[in-house]
Amino acid sequence: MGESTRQLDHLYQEILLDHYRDPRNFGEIPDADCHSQGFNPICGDKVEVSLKFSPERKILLDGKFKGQGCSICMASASMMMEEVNGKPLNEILDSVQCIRDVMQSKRDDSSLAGDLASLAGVKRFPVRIKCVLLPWTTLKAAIEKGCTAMMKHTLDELQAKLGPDSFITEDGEQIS
Amino acid sequence: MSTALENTSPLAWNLKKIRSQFAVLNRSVNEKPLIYLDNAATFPKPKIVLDAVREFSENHYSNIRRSVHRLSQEATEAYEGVRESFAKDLGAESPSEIIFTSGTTQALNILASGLCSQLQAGDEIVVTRLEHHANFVPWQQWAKKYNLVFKIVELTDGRLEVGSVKAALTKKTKILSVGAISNVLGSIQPIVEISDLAKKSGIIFVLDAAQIVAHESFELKNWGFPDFCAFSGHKMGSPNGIGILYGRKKLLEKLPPYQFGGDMILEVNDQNSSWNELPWRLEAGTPAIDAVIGFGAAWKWMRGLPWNELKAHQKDLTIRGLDLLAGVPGLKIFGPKDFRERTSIFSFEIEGLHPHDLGTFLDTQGIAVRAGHHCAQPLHHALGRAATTRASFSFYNTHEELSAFVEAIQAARNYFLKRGASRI
Repeated sequence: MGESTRQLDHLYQEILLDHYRDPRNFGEIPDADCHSQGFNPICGDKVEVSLKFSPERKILLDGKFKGQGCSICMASASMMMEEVNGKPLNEILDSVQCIRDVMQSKRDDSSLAGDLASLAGVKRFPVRIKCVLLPWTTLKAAIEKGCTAMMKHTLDELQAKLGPDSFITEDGEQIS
Repeated sequence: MSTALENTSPLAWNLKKIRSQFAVLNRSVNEKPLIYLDNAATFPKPKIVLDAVREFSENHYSNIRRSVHRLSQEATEAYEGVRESFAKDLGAESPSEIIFTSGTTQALNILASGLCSQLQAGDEIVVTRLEHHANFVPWQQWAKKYNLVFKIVELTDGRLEVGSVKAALTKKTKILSVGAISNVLGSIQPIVEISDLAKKSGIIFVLDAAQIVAHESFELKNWGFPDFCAFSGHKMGSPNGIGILYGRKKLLEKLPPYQFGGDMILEVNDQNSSWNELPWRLEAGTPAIDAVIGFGAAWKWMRGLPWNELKAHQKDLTIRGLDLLAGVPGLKIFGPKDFRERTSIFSFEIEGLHPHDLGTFLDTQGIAVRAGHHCAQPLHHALGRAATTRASFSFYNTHEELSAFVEAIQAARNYFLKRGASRI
């Protein structure tokens, strides 16, 4: 096999297969603040994430994923949850952007640290890049959904306090 | 394994001759000779087709039916000549029953939108669990728009039985649309019997012939003489973006225009327009002229192949493929196990090994297969799988390629299992 085996070994690194065999943070958070489901229409792979935020919604306290997918997709999801749990949301969104950039060769491979570094090998197999990114785009969608829901919730609360005839402008000003 | 005898047989000689038409088979992928097993997705381009397109483009190309000049005349003759040969070879009543479309998908969309608009709320459209999205979603969506009932005939042990089709038809059924060969299971449907059923009940029978065209029977009568039939050129070596909608003239005449524009009109006034006659009424705009020329060349080439031999060879590939794949531990083949009910399209799974991972492994061995749902999600839902791996062998593939493929699957299994990548 020679060269092709070397290529395969670079793609299917031991650490990646380890995450596939034994995924971390696999499951669902029962009282999650938000859920999101990602779907790859090409292969039918599915990833679902559930997230629990800190009360002010600045930090991801806990995140879990479940789904059906190839080794690369499932390992990417497992590494992702390990990476982002306990982190501020803005840092998480930066990480999502970072891995996207690395996959599109806009950023150096060395931007991926720890277990995530093993995902850089996928770049040589362009059709598999989607497999890496599916969990990350699903996570981003969940965070955005969660934040929108929180904003709506805050606005609703405010509206309830102020009474049904009041309107609130985008700047938070009250108009009666 | 090839023997010296096989190598000198007329079959071996013929396969060599056919394969020499496909320049792509000379290339390597990942330093391995390419083994192309994705024929159900699209067929390689024969040299004779590429040459025909080039000759036409260099010497006769112009827009058709629009100008009095010489080139336009030659191009129009060549284009309409292809239509005539399709009509004659398929056994249509006249060339105006042949509509050029961008492919099977567009042909089925023209039908679904046009036929459904003529039905009454509560009328039924029947398809099967086997359908490709192109013969499923258009009916599903137009049925929704016109409040029609969209019914799906289920399989029995992975097979479409005539009895199940019969049971699904009622007095309200107006359209029955069936794929001749499943692009996933490789199963060959009893289309002649199904067509008879529809005809007896006065139901319009639509045949999705996308997968059957590279399988010898190039005549409508072998396909149960459907009321409508759709297929694409690229599944038989033509340029992309071209296909055919065949329809019985009386039924075609009732179809409203699908697109408006050049060439499909008779007269255009400020507030109203009237339509050209068939087939042009359904071919708005400048068509894919060079693709039609290539389509004609591909059709002629394919019809001229030594089919008695090739059919026997493809049957051997099917029997042997089923046998060899059954010998791989943990491998499950979907679809009929009896070679008489199927062709050499094999969709399968290997326990604990995801189709994408297998597909990538095979690619490193120079083997092209497809991994996914093959545009047939309703069927995959019924199989309980999100994805399968599909190897679609054509009549030009060899026993050596089949053996190499099965060996590569074994190697993939060893590679992933050894590395503990299997999750059961």
